[in-house]
Amino acid sequence: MRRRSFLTAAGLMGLSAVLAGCSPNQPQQVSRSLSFFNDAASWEPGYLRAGKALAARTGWSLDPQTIPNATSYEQVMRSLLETRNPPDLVKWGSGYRTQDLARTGTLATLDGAWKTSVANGWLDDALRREFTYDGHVYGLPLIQGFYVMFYNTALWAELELEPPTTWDEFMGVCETLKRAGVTPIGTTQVNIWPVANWFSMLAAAFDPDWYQAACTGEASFLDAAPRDMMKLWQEMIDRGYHTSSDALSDDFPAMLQQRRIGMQPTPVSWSTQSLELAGLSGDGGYDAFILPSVHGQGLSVVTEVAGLVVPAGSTRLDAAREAMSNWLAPEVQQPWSDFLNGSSANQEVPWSDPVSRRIQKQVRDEQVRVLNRYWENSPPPLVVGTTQDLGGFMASPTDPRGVLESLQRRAETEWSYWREVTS
Amino acid sequence: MTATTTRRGPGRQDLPRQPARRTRLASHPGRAPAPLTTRIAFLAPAAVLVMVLSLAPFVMTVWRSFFDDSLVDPHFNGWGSYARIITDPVIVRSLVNTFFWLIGTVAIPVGLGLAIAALTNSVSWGKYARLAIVMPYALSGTAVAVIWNFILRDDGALNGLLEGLGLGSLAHAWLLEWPANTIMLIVANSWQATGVAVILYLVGLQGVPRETIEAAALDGVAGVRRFFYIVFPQLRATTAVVMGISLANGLKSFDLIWVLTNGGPGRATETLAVSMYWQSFVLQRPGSGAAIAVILTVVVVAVSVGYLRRQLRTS
Repeated sequence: MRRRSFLTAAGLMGLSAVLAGCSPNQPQQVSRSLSFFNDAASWEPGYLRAGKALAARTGWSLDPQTIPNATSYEQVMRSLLETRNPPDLVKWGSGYRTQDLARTGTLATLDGAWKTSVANGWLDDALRREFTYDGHVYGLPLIQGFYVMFYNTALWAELELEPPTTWDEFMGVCETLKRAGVTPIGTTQVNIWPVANWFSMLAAAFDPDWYQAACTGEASFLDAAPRDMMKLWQEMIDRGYHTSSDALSDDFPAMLQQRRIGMQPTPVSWSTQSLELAGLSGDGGYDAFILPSVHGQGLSVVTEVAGLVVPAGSTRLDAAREAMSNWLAPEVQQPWSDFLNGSSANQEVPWSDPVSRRIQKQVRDEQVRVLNRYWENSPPPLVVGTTQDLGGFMASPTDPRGVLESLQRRAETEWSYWREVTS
Repeated sequence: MTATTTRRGPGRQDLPRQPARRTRLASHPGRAPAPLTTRIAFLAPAAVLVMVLSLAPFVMTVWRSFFDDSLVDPHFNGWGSYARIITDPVIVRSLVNTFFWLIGTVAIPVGLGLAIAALTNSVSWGKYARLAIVMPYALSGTAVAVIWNFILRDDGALNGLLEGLGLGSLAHAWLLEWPANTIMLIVANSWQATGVAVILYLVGLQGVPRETIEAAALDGVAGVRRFFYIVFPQLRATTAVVMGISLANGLKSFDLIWVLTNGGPGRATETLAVSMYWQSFVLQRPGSGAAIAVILTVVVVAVSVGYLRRQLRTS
């Protein structure tokens, strides 16, 4: 073949490949599974079991696809939602995270699915505000958990420690652990979002009223409460109560098992799975308590609610909506909840892990004040900026006042922006 | 002067332009010059690709940078995004970090690459040393970041080694304090990037005529003096290439920083490329992201043009 003929043929082949790639979707084989994008690869068996139960009700199962890095996941999802072939279902945060996505017009409304779930007694209507934007519901809860302090019971028994009921007792526990050569609390700023977990817990324990008001832009980061809270945080870091801020949160379950850390702030129920994988038995190997109030004003607990949303551009929108109408049915939630040791938002579905079940009961029976995690509790750009600044503080806790001033400057700008774009 | 004349060919400057062209065409007897339309047809695909994939996005980015950060229905904002960015201390630090990267990623690979290539070029065990140096170049930036995370973390290998050697007082939170964390990132990057500099300098050293070195030896010039007076000047073209590659790598540095520190803590290790990503994709601020992209482009073009003009002028 002459060179020119070869080049022409190769060029035509390349051109036809490009045109084929750009052409509209070819007729595809009908699949009876809904593509479901998520950021938790280890949860795939649970998704599949729930999908199997869902298929028995609707004919549609779940086809989970994972992007395991939280930041990358958000970018990819935001991009996919703008395309003509987005996934059918997407795992997404609740609160402002859902609102931030809904305002772009890329999410389908799920008013019918919500109404059906509430009418069937599967869903507490109080959660509606976590998924509402502009009067419509855009998501249903995938998981709900409570942030508590986990500990290794064998280590605590050796050191004769008891779960603290007051802040002074909590600081006493930290001091005892520190003296025993164990870093008391596993926290980190790596990957940013773990910062929001500890900040939420500390702020909710320090002054839940200020925390909630700050989350909605009605309180200042320069108030007395955050100033005193940052001093406390700084003191705890200086005393060596926290792990180095470049630790990895994925290592904490193993570090707890190996007695390198004394406590891990993380949610019931799904974190129990990681602890069990790290070798701590669910039958007495670990236990957990709600962080005591700093000023003794009653217990508060931070909750994390993640949801399922449906892209407006889904090619199987009706099927996705039907699946959402059946998602919270007990026979779908039971295998899902069993897989994670709990976490179903359907209160009729029991949590299997005894520690998680006890905390869930305590929250209900003692009417513990439930506050949303900071990650979902303010506009996302503000949350990201705040956690970045606080991550810097965790690495170098030298200027708490300067950090608060930066947080307040950003809060004023971002709240103004948020109100402008959502008004 | 003599060398220049020899390279260009005797009397070439004195020849009129037209005969020179005929001489070139004469090497393909019987082939007429292609018509203008044919030449344009061959050029068009490349020109269209460059316009569609490079120039058009650039123009759109410049255009977008003059609008605000609204995702839906953005409003014309003039220089507003630029004004906010250049007064943002995080972006100012990001700019400073970018210049650190620029200096570090040029100086270290050029210096180390030259030294390693020169020192291992003529010794019998040199190939093993070179293999060890060059191997990291085969790794991706992400893999390098994971390796260096094991080394630089507070409970990582470096601090463990220092404590094991009884030098615990030198242990340091390498990734947590600015500017040490930025410097460590540059070191990690150089660990990988030096390999290509070594390869290029080795090729350059192979091209140095033995006659010049033997002549220098006969004249009694040896050791470091011979290297700097005789060898190094003949590596000028190689140095130009190594510096050019290093400049580009320094300015576009992203993957290593993103994986190793996410630009943190507290956005302390961001470069302009990382800041652009944060603003555009994490914070969903397309106006601000576009403005940073334009600033980064201006820096890259200014540095590249300045460097290339200097190289072209002196050669």
